[in-house]
Amino acid sequence: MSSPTSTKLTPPIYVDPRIRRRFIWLYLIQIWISLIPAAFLLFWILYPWFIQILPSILNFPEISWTLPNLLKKWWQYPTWVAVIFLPILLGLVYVITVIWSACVTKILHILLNKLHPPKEGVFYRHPKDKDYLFWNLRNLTRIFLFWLNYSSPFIFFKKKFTFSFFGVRIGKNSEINHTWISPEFIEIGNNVIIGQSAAIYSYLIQGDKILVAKTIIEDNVQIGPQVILLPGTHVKERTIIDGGSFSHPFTIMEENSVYSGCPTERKMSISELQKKIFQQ
Amino acid sequence: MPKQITEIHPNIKNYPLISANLSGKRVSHFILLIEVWITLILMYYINKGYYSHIFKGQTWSYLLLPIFIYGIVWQFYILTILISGLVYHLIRIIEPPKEGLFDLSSRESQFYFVRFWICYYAFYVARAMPLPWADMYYYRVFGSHIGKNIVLYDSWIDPEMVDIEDNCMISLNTQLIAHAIIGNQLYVKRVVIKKSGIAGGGAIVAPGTIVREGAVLGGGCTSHFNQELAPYCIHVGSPAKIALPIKIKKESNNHEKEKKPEEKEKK
Repeated sequence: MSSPTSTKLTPPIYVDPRIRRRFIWLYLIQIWISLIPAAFLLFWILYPWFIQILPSILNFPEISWTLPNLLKKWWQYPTWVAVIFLPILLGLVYVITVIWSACVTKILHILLNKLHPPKEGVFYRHPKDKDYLFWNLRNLTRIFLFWLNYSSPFIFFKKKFTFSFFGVRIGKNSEINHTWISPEFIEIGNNVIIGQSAAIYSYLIQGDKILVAKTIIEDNVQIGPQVILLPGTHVKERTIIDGGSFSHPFTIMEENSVYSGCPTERKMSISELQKKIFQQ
Repeated sequence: MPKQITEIHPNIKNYPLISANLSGKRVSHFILLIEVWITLILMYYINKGYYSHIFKGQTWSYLLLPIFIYGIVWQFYILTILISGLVYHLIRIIEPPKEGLFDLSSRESQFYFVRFWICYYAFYVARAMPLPWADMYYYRVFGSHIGKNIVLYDSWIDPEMVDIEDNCMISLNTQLIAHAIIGNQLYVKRVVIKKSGIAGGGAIVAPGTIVREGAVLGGGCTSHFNQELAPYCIHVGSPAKIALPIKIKKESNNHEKEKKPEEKEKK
């Protein structure tokens, strides 16, 4: 039942290896900064275990400069109280790292967008092309945060800290779990159902060119499993796309209709479909 | 919105396949958090005595630390089997899984989502394990029939209403779905894969399909609702139509028997 690793453990991001190699220092510094609060919190939580285990090897220092000394030494409570709060504290570490790393990537994005604002269009796929370079840099800075969100079984913050926090609108009651959705130039309306391992792209690579265009999905659209939507598609309200189908870039799907096939074609309207199936 | 119906029209096979990317319900997430909380507390009290004894003044025991960590990972896996299986079967007593058409707001489908999320967490833990067969035990714990000698690669298989018999193969990125959304309704129907049936890579198996003995669904193909795949045939297309029969070699014992008379003739 669990979804394939291609949609579960890897974030939906592409980065050109030429640019990734050159800017790996930026990526490492970003991880370092975004893990600092987690390191402090883990040190505070695991302190009692450290002072039990480590003194036999090293001279372990008495804690004097961390947060708990300002508040209260929690390890001096009876052990059962400490143990009951331990899983909650570990959860807190995860939540704080997600929020802090989202803030770090947001700050980086603001700086990158001031240097060169994001643009749609067809670009030359080479690091010398400025649009392509900054498109890749924005993706490179997203990887760590998305990995944090996509590699946990809990999906409380997945929608919030991968899309809405960066200004990408994804409506109410529409789930993005188990899907591959590009993090930029995407707009998804309310009550949208997207099947597992469906892919919604806002970029397409062909030869030495890259196409970046906005894909829009309006309210109450139902998309089946393993559907592939390429950049520039506009799916209008209440359409149904059959599972396993695929669409060319810049297709416009009419409202209240059923699409299926590879490439997708309009089969019928929804009222016709309901007449066909629900009449007895 | 169509009026609710109890019996399903045979024309249902023409309906486009939409699987519910099951929305997170607050109740089920609350249950999951409590499950994790209890497992971590249990693990502390199980391990405390042993490890405090081992690490007391014995510096050589730090060399065994990697094995200890590996053992703790497996302990977490086994404890999640026990606890999530217990919770799942308790909820199953309250509302057992049923086949049929239900409204999305009805009691049956709400409980379907809750049961889904409890299984989801358990399967996530199983799939994150370093051994590939770890998840099959979970399917058995959750009550679906899984045979011997099978492979489930990185594929989506619904936790309920799935029967897989011996010697089956379900390939990479296959979607084996036992539920679908029809308008505002949830449709649940059992998927059966008989002995040595194969679902190819990237195929979609719709709810209600029966893969007969030795049948093959080709890679990237889909089957429609309530379809029966003919035994010992390859099915291609979306929805799957063409059936190519498979030639089966005779077993090795028969082969030897055929050879023997020839040898006698030579003599």
